[in-house]
Amino acid sequence: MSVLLSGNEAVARGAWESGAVLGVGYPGTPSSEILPAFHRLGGVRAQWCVNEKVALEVAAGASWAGGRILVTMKHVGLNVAADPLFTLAYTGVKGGLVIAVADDPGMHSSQNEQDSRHFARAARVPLLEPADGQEARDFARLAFSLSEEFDLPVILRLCTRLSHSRTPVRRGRRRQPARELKFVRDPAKYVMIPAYARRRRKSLDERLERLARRAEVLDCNRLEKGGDRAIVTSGLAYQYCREVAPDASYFKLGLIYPLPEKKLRDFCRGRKVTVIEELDPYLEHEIKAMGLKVKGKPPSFRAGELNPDRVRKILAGRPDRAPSARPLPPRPPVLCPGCSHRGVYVVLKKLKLVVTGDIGCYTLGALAPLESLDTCLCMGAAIGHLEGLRVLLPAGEREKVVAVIGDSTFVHSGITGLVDLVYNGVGGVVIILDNHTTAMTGRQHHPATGRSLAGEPASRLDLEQICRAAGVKRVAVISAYDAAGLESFLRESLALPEPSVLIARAPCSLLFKGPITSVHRVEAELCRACGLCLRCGCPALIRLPDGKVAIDPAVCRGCSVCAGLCPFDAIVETEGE
Amino acid sequence: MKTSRPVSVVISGVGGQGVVLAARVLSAAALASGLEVKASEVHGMAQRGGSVLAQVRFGRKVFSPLIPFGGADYLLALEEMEALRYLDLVGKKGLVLLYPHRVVPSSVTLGQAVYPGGVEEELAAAGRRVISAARLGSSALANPRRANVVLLGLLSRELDFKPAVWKKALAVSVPPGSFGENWKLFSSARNYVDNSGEL
Repeated sequence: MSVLLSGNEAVARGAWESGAVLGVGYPGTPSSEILPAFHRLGGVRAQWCVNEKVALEVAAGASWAGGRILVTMKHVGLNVAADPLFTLAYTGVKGGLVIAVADDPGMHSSQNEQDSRHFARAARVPLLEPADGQEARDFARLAFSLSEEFDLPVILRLCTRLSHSRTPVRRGRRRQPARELKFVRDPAKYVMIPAYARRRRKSLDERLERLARRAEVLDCNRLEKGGDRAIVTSGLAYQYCREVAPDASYFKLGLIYPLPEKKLRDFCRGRKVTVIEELDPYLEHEIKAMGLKVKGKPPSFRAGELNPDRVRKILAGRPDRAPSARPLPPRPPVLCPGCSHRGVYVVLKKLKLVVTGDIGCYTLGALAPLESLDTCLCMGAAIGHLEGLRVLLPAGEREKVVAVIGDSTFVHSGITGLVDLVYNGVGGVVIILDNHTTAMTGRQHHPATGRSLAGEPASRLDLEQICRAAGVKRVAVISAYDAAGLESFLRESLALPEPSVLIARAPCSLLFKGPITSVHRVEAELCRACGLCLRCGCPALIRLPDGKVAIDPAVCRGCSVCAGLCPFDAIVETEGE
Repeated sequence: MKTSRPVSVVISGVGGQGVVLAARVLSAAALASGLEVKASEVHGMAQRGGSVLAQVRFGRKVFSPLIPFGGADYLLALEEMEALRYLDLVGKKGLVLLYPHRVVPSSVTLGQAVYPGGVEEELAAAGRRVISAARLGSSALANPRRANVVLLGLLSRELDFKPAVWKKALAVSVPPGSFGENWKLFSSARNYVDNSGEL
């Protein structure tokens, strides 16, 4: 009997059935739900690591002990893990090692739209791409067996629409994990000094050649006979093609690297072939490099997510134009009511600071009406940006720059930036927005929360201590709702030559499950309709037809940030539900 | 209900309103009725009070989890403006089930944009059939947090899934403590007798 599983749950299921004993990763939309689902299946260990690089290194060690290991991350996480990945192709594995990487075409929740398939070719690591939940489960199983047979890590490429779509999946039983876990010394395989690496490089060529021969007979590369129109495709793009061109002939690829060259030659011989793929023209270029004549999608279709309508246009040779929609007020995501970041941004805006930013809910501080975040590049970058700006900006300007970074992001890759800032004697204020969770991706634990993936007590990383150990002498912890305290610390610190860390601390408002005992309301007769409170952008504030403001008691969390903005003391505390 | 091509349902609303939950209940009911199901949800940044869209498709065979423009048979709008935002997905013969509730976005609060008025009229002017939950009376509108269940109750009148299937799909999807209230709202929407002659 089938059950409905998200693509992420199906990957977890496939890994679990394959006898994987350990799952490691760092949360990142759209991959975040894989590890918790793997944990729920039971009898396995699942853990969040500080970042994707560490996760892959942990996985390599565990694989060398002989166990099957699942690693999860989003596409940009693979950049962080790239260093171990490239050489892991040389060393290879012992227990199967599968890296589930979720791309985000359309950038639903990401800072870029990179295509992970390039990593497979560049690092020379096999890559499988499933097209629905069933294949996500099946290909996870296939990935583990290919990994062990060919002594290579294997990438399972997912995308948002697969990770977060629920489709029926037939399940199987769990394979018994390897009984004996043991590390057998083999320096020529595991110690990549040049002399051994040269040999392993040759071995890598041989392993990939063997796999390329196997690719010709693997079921995951599937021919579907149909009419004259011929399409080479893979993943979700296959589903869109089948929707709009049900009568075409298909070569649906499951193994994307290495490609089944002979089979592709046979398929393309004597007919006009169109290649339909999500994001970059990866398959198109690879197939053209084989000397085959195929047609890809026009360049405008490379950006953004595919869907049935866009695929229909590609096949019909029509331009990439969305139908003109009725203009409506936009509804971008916003900081939640009671969010602990809101008050900090109100202070930063008041002081007119340049704010280098990072990845998390607090990136939303860039949007109106807060509009107080000036950069966002990648995980941990805020502190490096602060250092770079302070090094080059003239006196009078450089004192206006501060960095904001979330607690989870700081642990992921901010600590090294802080060490660098101190070491190079640059100074500046780093604000750690410590809300005790990895909020944006769904509130996962991390080392500074003192809880494990399973929610059990774990050693808690002390943020104050680690900042001091980095050499920062001025470390202050101030409530994220204490506007006066935040402002006075910033005023004292900004001009100092030495670095400071301000930990603005208050739990994520979504972590609080109890009843709200106190909310705020507006005294209508005191409200002068100035609208100043609206500048904090809280969804609980409602503008009335007469210009005055009211607070929705069902939405208000009683944080009082709006009250601090009212010059007429019209916002007062009142009893909650 | 046609089974030759999939039935396509769009569910729209604002992050936190229960769009994803509605999609899960509908998907579970379709699967339990012996159909193939594909349901696409949105997680992550889009859940922070932003516009949220879920798409559910079911039938004998479903390929794309995404619905083509004009391909949706039903639109369940948990919020008025979010009905207009995804109207292009709804076919000319499509039915819009509307919950009359407004969540005002910050651009409107700040006076930079105007919330559209007369949403139900605009939907009708666009040629779509519209059933507003307002017809169900005040008890259905008392708690906007249950808009998802009210609209599912209305949708259930259009689909030939058995009541027991809906009941189980709801029971496995909502917290046990709130099942009673949810089932009551679902049932009253499903069973309400319409006097306007349109249903």
